[in-house]
Amino acid sequence: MSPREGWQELTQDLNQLAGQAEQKLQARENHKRWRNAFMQALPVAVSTLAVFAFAQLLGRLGKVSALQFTLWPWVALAVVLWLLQAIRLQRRAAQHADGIARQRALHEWDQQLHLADRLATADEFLHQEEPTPFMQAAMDDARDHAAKSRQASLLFAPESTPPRLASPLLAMGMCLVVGFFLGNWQSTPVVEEPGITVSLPGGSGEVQEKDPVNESNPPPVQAQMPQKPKPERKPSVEEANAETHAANREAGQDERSTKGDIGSGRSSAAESSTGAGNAQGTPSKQGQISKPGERKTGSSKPKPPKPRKEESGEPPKKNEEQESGSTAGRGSSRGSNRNPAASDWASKDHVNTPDDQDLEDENEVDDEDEEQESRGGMQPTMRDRKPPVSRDLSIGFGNQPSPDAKGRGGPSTPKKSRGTASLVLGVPIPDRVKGQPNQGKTKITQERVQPQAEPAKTGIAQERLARVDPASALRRDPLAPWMSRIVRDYFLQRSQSER
Amino acid sequence: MTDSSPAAAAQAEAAAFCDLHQRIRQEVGRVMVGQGDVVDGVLTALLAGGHVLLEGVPGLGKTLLVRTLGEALDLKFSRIQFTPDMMPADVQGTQVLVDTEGGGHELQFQQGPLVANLVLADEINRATPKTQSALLEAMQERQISIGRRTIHLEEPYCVMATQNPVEQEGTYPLPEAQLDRFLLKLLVDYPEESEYRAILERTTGSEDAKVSPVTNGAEIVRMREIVRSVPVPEIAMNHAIRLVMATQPNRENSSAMVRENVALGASPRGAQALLLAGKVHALLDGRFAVSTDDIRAVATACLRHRVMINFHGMAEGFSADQIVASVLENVPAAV
Repeated sequence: MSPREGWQELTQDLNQLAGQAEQKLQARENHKRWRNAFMQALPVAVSTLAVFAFAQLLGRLGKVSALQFTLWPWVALAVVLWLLQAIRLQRRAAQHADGIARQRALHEWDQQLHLADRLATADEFLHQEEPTPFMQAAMDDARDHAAKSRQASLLFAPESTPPRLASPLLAMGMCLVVGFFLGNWQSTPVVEEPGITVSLPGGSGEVQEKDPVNESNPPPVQAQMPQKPKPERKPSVEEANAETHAANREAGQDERSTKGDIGSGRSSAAESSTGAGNAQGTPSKQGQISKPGERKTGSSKPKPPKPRKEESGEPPKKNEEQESGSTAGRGSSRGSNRNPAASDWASKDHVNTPDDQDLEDENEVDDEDEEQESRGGMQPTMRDRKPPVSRDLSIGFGNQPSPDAKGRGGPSTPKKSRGTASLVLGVPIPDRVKGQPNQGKTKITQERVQPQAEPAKTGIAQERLARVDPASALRRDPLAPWMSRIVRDYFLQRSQSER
Repeated sequence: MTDSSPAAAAQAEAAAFCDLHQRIRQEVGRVMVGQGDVVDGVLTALLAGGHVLLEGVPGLGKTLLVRTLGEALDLKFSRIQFTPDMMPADVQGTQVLVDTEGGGHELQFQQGPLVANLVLADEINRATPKTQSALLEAMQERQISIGRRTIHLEEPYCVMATQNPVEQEGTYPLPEAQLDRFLLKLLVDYPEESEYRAILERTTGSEDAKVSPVTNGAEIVRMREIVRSVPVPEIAMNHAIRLVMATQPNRENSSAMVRENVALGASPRGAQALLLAGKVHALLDGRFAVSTDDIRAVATACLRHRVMINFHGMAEGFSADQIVASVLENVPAAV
């Protein structure tokens, strides 16, 4: 079989495979178009049912009485509109759809049979005017695969993405339920009396009187018009209130008698109480007299306002000792009040007396050194916690920062709104703890040691000879005799001229 | 001569190609244990006429692989150990002052190690971008221009560079223009448990495995011509183009992952790399034309170094491989 004949067979095989795949692909495309059309038309059905629910609502409110239909015509209308819209969308999609390409049909075969695009490639190369040797080899390679593929059948995997029906169906169901509920609610008669039918079409409160004599005769046109309720039939507000009061009185009597029965045998004080709770003998908290000593002071007692420094009647030294961490070490409770949270920035500069200053500083330095050693490194020392340099450039009012400083008035009261500490009332937390950026104090020790001579081998300068090898890569070839003579004559003439 | 002869000739060439590939692979396998994908990738780049970038932690045999390949191919092999103080003249060559016969001196050009057939650029990201840029012209144009002198490099020419991902301290990441010139970027991973025994036996014993040349430069050039003659059908070419365009964040059809996490997508060189590497893949698979499967098989190695992740993607922890995987998932092979 010549290659051309083989390629004709290949062409026939590919035609058959492509035709088969195109039909199946076309069917799948149609199915997909119909499905998409039905999905896209679902809002029409939802809208119809929403109109149904709205109409039922209007009918319930008495706005429009002509829309009071039953459920099934609305459902039928929704289905019809849905189908019409789906058909319209499917036709429009079919008009704009391209035909199934032959390459795509063959590629489906390649994909399903794992032929690595042999069929689609061979079909493309068959249409080449002058196929290269590799193209011819590719066509020869695809010939056997195409022949084998004719026995196979093309199968498509089911759609991986299910249609999203949840939200449209939910909306339709909601509309149906709402409409059905509204429709049923308005059609239920509220009050029925012999001879009188009271219906509330749309909630308007109409009252129509049925005449048993003229029941069989249709009423005149005017009688069919909505009539005003008769005054004796329509309860007025006063009457309604009177009835309500009477009903309440009766209910109260019944209640009292019932409670009296329940509360029989109890104390007379409980029985003579007027409230319902008192009638049952349950003591109320408001009526109970509590002893002054029983009241909890922690939660209910309001805290006295914290006295300001200027207004405090205590001597300033005592106040400073309580607030300052640097001065709290004195006495038996030394070191216990060194929490930086309990200190105040402004209370550090004028605390100690001059007599105790040196001794106290020395002791604190020793304590802090010991603490630092025990902590294993440098730690921020409380002693250095001095207020930062004031940047308040405005004129203040005494010790208070200027109210116009807008936050730039230097040290102020510590912030209380940070982290967990902000949840604890009355615990001032400074906004930062001053640390030491460097290694701190440096101890310099100087030792007076005399320099000592070290034994060293003395070198002999004469042993260091001149370099034998050339210093660079330049070669010094011996001069030619004629050049030597020229150089010699040159220097002789020069020496003679100098004489 | 019948009509079947051209097809038969093509089949014979394809068979010769596969045979040569197998011979080289066997010879390299005498020294190199495991890393089959890496060996195939290096041979793909060599036979496709491109360059390859090997990335892996130290001690996985990247340098050994390239050195063994140089011995098996009987090519002019040179190795450049890149260091931070290396200058372009150290790579390309420079003029040096030499003595003449008559005692004088003259400036003479001395070629750098870049002038060879197979160049191992070891730890290429340790050199400064200035020196790295010295490779640009050689890798793309196959020539070196120094002053007024232009040196045309001999074919086959292949640069195989290695870099360590963890030793980023004191290194200079390769610029995009440099990365784009590599046909493939291969990730060298740790060997399997079964391969450790063979590695230890070969490297700790007294006998060294000898590698003998199995081919030469002329045959490599011939194989490259065979690769170039493999046809690419329209379906495969369209797929390669769509893949490359899908990595570009400013395209309308690019995925949300690409738009949000990619700063720079693949260039047309990426599509060229897909087709060239796909041709080699098709020949090794016994076919005579490139298919979409070939394109997808080589897409990760061809595109991972051409996709630049932006700060958002880095913060999210995305890698280039994940981006390429998402592109492959979003761009089906269907027509």
